[in-house]
Parts: sequence; C-alpha cells; structure tokens
Amino acid sequence: MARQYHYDPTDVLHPVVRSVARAVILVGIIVPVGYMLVMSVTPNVEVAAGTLWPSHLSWSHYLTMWAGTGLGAGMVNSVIICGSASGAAVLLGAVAGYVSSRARFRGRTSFLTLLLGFQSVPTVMVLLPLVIVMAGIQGLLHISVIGTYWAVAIAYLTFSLPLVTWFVAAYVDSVPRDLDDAARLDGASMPQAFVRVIIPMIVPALAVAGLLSFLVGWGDLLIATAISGPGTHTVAVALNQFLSNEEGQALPEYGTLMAASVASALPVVVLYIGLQRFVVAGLTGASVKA
Amino acid sequence: MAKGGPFKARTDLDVRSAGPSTRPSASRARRRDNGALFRRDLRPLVVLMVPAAIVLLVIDLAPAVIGVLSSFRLLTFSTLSHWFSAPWVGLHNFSQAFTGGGGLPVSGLNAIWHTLEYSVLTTIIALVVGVVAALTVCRRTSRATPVIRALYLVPTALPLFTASYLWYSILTPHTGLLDTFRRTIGLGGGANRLLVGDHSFATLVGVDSWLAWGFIYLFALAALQGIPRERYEAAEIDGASRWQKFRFITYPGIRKLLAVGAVLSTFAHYNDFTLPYVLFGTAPPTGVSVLSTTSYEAAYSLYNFGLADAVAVMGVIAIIVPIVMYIWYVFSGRRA
Repeated sequence: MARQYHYDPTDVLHPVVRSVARAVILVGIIVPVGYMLVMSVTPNVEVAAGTLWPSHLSWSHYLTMWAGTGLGAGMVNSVIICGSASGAAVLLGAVAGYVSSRARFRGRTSFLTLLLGFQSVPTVMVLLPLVIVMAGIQGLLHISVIGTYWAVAIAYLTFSLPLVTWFVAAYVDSVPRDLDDAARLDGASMPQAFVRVIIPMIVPALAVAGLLSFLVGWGDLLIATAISGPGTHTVAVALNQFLSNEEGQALPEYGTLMAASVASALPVVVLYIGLQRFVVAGLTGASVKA
Repeated sequence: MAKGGPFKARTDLDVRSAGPSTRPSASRARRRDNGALFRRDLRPLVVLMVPAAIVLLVIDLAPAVIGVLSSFRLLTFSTLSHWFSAPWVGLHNFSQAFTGGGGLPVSGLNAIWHTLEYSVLTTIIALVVGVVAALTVCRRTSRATPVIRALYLVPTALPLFTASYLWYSILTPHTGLLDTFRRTIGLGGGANRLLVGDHSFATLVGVDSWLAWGFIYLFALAALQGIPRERYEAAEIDGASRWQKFRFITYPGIRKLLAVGAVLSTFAHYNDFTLPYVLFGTAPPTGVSVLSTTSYEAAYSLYNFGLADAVAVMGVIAIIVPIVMYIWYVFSGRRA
C-alpha cells in the first residue's frame, strides 16, 4: 500500500502540509459548531453574560424551545414546502433537462446558459413581482394564494427548477447516446428509454439537484417572510421571530435559541451527510464523462 | 478522456450534419436511421416538457420581466396594487440608483462594487480551501477519514439562517465567543469591532467563506475521484514534481467541474441576503451595503419599489456579462 501512495491526487500535497491543513480546517469547523452545541445546553443567564463553558448542563432548553416558538410547526411546514418544491423540481427538471440535452435545436447553449443565468437574478428582485403575480391571481380567481403552502413552494421553484434542469442537462450530456440507441434498437419507445435507461443512470444527479433545492428552501428567510402566512411559517421564519422577540428582553433566552438552531439544523445536516456518498458519486460521474 | 466514441455517434445522429450527399456505409446508414427515429420519438418527451416550460415562463421569466418593467415605473405603496397604471418615469429610478439618490444608503455603483468584490473574494477563498480540503481526504488513509469527510460537510450543510445566526452570536461584542475568549486568555476586555465600520467587509468575506468552502469541496472531491490513477503512476515514473502533478494532471482533471461549482457559488454570494441581513441588520455599514440589502432597503424601508428593481437590474447586468462569457469559454469553447 505504501507504493500506492504516489499514485493518487493526495500526493500533490506534502504529507506534513496535508496534516496541518486537515488540522486547521477541523479546528475551524469544530470551534464554531462546538460553541453552538455547548451554548445550546448552557443556562440562559450564562449565555447572556458571555461564557465559554457552562457551570452546569441545562438540557431543559431542548424541551422548553418547543413551547411558544412555533419551531415544531415551522419544521413540519418546511418539510412540506421544501419537500414538495424539490420533488416538483426534480420531476419537471429531469424531463426538461433530458430533452434539452438530447434535442438539437438552435440556441441550445444559450438556453442552458439562460437557465444558469436565472441563478443570478436576486431574490429581492424576484420577490416583489412574484407577490404582484400572486396577488393578481388571488384577485382574478378569488382564491387565496399568498400564505398557502404551494405559493411558497412555487416561489422556491423559481430557483430550483432552472438549476435542476441545467444540472440534469449537463449530466445527460455526459451519458453516451449509444445507450439511448441500444434501448431504441431493443424496441423501447423514447419515453421508455428515458424512464428505464436514463433515469437510473442519472439518479445521483437527481439526488444532488434535489438536495440543493431542498437546502435552499430550508435556509431561506426572505421569501418565506414575505409569502408564508401565520399557518405556513417555515422553520427559518420561526427562528427569526424567536430571535427578534428575545432581542429586547431583560433576560434573553439565547441558550434556548441556540438549542432551537441546533434542532433546525440537525435534519438537513443528517440528510446532507447521509447522502454524501450519493452526491459525490453523482458529481464524479459527471466529471469522468465530461 | 474517451471522447471519440460517443462524440462521433452524436454528430452522426444529427441529421443536419449527415447530409444526403454523404455516401454512408451500412453502419452509418443504420445510425442515421436511428437518428431520424430519435428525433420523431422525442415528441412525447417534448410534450412532457410543456409543464416545466410553463412553470419556467410563469415563475421565472414573468417575474423577471415584471421586475425590469417595474424599474421604469414609479411604484410606491399606494401605486403597487395598480401595477398596470403606475406612472412611467423613464430612467429616473436608474439615475437615482446610479447616484445613490432617493434615500439609498449607497449608490448602485458602490453596491455593485462591494458585491462583486465580496462574492469574487469569497469564491476564491472557498476554491482554495475547498480544493486543499478535498486533497486531505480524497484517499482513505485511516478509519477516521469518513468521519473527517462528514465533518467537512457540516458548515455547508447548516441552514443559511442558522449559520448566519451562529456567527452573529460568536462575533457579538462583549458576550460572544470571540470577546469572551479574548477576556479569558487576558487579551483585554474591549469589544471587538468586527461587525461595525471598516472591518465589517472582511468579516462578511470571512464568515461567508466559512459557509461556502464545503460546497466547492464537494465538487473538488468528486472531480478528484474521477481522475484515473494511472496518470499519477505515469507521472511518478516520469519523475514529475508535486507541482507538475498538480498543474498537469490534477488541475485539468478538476477544472471543468470546479468551474460549475465556482459559478454557482459566485451567484449564491452575489445575491445572498440572509447573511448580511443577520450579521449587520437593516442598516449595514457602507462597506457591506451589498446589492441585496440595498435593494431590500429601497423596497421595504423607502417603499420605493421601482428604485429597488432598478438597483437589482443594474446588479444583474453587472454580473451576467462576465459570467455568460465565462460559461461560454468553459463549456462551448472546449466542446468544439
């Protein structure tokens, strides 16, 4: 195994440099995240006064944080909203990406660049027109739009759908057309070839795209504040309201707030790390074939 | 890279390029036939694409168009509900956005400059840290490697709002981790000034780099694992130095995927609202008055929505030109 050592990219860095870099990066991660974890079990009085280590562990934050913060409801709402948004983005984006990769049409590259370009449109700029469009639909059809689950989910689609489409198109570009042809020669129709042959091959890409879409929604504050209603507040809105409630208090419950932050982060961190292998595989596939 | 096979097939499948004058061999003819089938067969899928196209049009293109049109109108709280009858003011919003008039905290040009500086710096730092980090764990050296890989992902996996709040509480003067730590080791009890004044820009870049490098790391790790080991073996036999291995094997192998990561990352910082908002509040120091907060200020403090859109449109124009050029350079340039 020792000889193998020179035969992979790791060798590009000197072993000492590598160890030092690893240590520095790990400290840089563990200190802030550790602070968050420690503060989440530090009594509120001590957090407000500033401390490095609690006099006693106060696990009760993880029980008290659910009352009066809307944290639980916020998490459920976020799962519903981000889950449906990323599910819809993956479903629609997979087909759109596949077709834009396989169909030869004029301006194909421009179209794909435009999709990526949508990522450059600031949320602040999209937000207001979205509210205008939604308010317009609301007035026209006499249904409630703003404040519903699907309105927020659609707002997140504005970012995730172009991204997923672009991502899938780039990935399918790297899947040889011979595979489509082989399926075609075996008598499959194009949709069949897509579902049976291409979809299994691009599952990692779909996982990456779906995960990124989910995270965008989970961490967003701006859109959720403007479009979600009292019953559909996402976890970020719940946390932000908790924070602004505490700011003016005589005894701010910053410890409890940290506990709530940990709880809000845990599901996505677990999801991210759980899917890590999948995500790397998806990206690796693209790079080998690119 | 094995480009020949699929690439050749692709050109052959293209009906336009395989013109009628070509004298095709048997296999070529079959392929062209497939190509024709292929095109006709794409139709059901194109039909399936219609919902995606409609959604893209309604939620992406329409708001973008409305946003651009709004930037030429006088849109205040009272005229907002009658968007179609809001008065046109021509380039008035743009001239205000340009010069920083109308109550804006900074001029649009300043905001664009701060934002560009901030997003480019952040992406560069994230690129360096991300690639180095990937190099430290791309080979499994011990049982700890998978754990380290998982830890590396935590900063990026943290929801944006949570991570921003975490850093806000670390940097909070007097009671945050930073000042408490300084007091504990006897470096004086003064409050840090990282969230105010001139230091705020460095703070924003630093914190955002901490949030962002994991994303690049993921792309770099994936790209590194796609590089065939034989190339390093060959380089080793040829007596290549570490730098040469990086320059001629590693870098070309990760370049394209890193470019994707870098573009996505730059966009994300360019438009980020949550981090500057949580760190610096609604009235940030001028050094960190980025596009998103300036536009937000115009819309929700000044209630001048046309001005807000003008600032945003200027920002989009400023970023779209270099990025589009870059994408074309990386993707279409290499394909030809």
